[in-house]
Amino acid sequence: MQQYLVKRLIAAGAVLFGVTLLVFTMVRLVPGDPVDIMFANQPPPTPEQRAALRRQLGLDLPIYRQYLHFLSRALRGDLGRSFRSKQPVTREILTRLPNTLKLTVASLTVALLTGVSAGILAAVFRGSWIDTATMLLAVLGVSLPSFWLGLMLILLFAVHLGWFPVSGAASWRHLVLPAVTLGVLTSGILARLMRSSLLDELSRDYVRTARAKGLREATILTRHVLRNALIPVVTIVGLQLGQLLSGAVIIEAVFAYPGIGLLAVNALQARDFPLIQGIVLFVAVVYVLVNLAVDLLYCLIDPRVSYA
Amino acid sequence: MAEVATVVRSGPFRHSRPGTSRTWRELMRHPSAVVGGSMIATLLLVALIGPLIAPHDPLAMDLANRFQQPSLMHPFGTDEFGRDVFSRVIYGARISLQVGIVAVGIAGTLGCLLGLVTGYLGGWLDTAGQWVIDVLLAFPGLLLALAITAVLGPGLLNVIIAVGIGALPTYARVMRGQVLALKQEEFIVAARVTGCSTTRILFRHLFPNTLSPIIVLASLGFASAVLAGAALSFIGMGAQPPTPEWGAMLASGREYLRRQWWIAAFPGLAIAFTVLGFNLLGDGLRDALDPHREAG
Repeated sequence: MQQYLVKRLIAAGAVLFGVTLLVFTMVRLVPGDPVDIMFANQPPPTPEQRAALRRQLGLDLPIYRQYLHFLSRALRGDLGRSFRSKQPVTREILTRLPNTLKLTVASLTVALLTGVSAGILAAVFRGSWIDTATMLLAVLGVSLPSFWLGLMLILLFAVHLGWFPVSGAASWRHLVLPAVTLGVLTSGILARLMRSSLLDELSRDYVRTARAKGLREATILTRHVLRNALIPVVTIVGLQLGQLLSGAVIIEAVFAYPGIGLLAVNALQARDFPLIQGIVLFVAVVYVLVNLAVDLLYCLIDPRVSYA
Repeated sequence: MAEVATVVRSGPFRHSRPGTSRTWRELMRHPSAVVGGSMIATLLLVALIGPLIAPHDPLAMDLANRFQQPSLMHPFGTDEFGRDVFSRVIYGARISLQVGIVAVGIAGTLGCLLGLVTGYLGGWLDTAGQWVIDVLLAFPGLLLALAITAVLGPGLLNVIIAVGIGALPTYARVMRGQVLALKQEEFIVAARVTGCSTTRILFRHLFPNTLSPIIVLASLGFASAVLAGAALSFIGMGAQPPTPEWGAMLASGREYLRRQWWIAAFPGLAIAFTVLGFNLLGDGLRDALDPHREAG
């Protein structure tokens, strides 16, 4: 286990190094001088100001030193300053993070409750109309554009029925529509996965033995099968967490929900590169760390998984 | 050995892959494949004969007829400039298919090439290739495409490139897995022993035998590409006005959602129809091309 842990940590470290390299390179590939981009909507700087700013930003250094400079600052939590608000990028991200975390957890809860239940229902009633209807809904869930679904939910539940607010994040009621919208896609994926995993487990020898012993179907399902069938779901939930973080970009824009996603969209539209760079780096690092945690958790909950 | 050499040089081997006629039979028996295939065929037809069936010019403004409700004259109503939403949705099919085809083309070609070469040659090249794939996969969902669009700037072509590069690592990983499984098989060893060049082994013997999962991935990837392209246009990074792109139409329609719901509703339904079609077809293809499934 220890050897596996070390190997996995080294691999994650190598990926994180690559992520920083890629994010750093991307911003350098933007056409035009960064100083000109900074002054896009302002009077152009004097040559002295330009030279001072280039020195201050480290743009006069060779490219590898610029990268090392970027990396050492990033490791200390300094991701530069937003072109637009002039605030530190880290502060901008951390201010919005709680809202995005709330949305991610809420949508994951929606997805787990509906997706896992739908998958169990479909597997238990395999071949019946319940199975067909549930799987049809699941494929519809993964096919609907979330930004369109969000607008339609606003139209029905906010505009016509007035049950929930259209936008903002002032109370839990503001969270309902974005969480449902974001959760639908994951719910569809989980329902399909849960069904196939459960059917796979139900066809195994130990289930036949349990039936032969005269155990009730409900007992077999809850005591034996469900736990094993949930193992692949854990992996997907981990992967989906990252997907939800990035999916929140569009959903937060639809609901004007003040999280990291809306911050990213605004930064994109204003070509605020330090902020874009910071958000992309932050989400990618979180995603790599979540994947690492899920991998380790997977080994703990499933003894069949080899550490090799 | 002479026999092996003859067989190797006469054409590529097929490795336990279901035959075309069996695949077709399986597909025709699969309800979701039939439904999905029909939906995609309809979409292709609409994209091809769009100019013939669109009742109005998708860009023609008619300010006297702004915000017309759906009617016989305008089946999907008119938008804020009096443009016919039905005609714009029809023309939008071309753009969405274009996004899907080119993005999947970029992802499939580059991804497969990366997976094929690194998986077969192994060594430091494989380690480096794996690292590149892992790094690209560290950006979840739309994030990589968003970052690339930020660098390239807004525009439909840039979105297509961004979506294509964003999907590339999945193809590379699947292709590499296939190659690793196949490269120790007897027919590849035989091809190597008989003096086939690496290029010939890669493209004539390995590549055709790795296509099944790639075809499934491409079908499902098409759905994701259409969705991603529309999402990027929705936030203003893709097609720019007045291009009749579904995501951009949805974005402009949200301004008028309260009273003129049709401006946003129909482009969204068109995206859902397309994505659903490709997802259903992909599901059917996955089952039909699965060599472990019993032939009926």
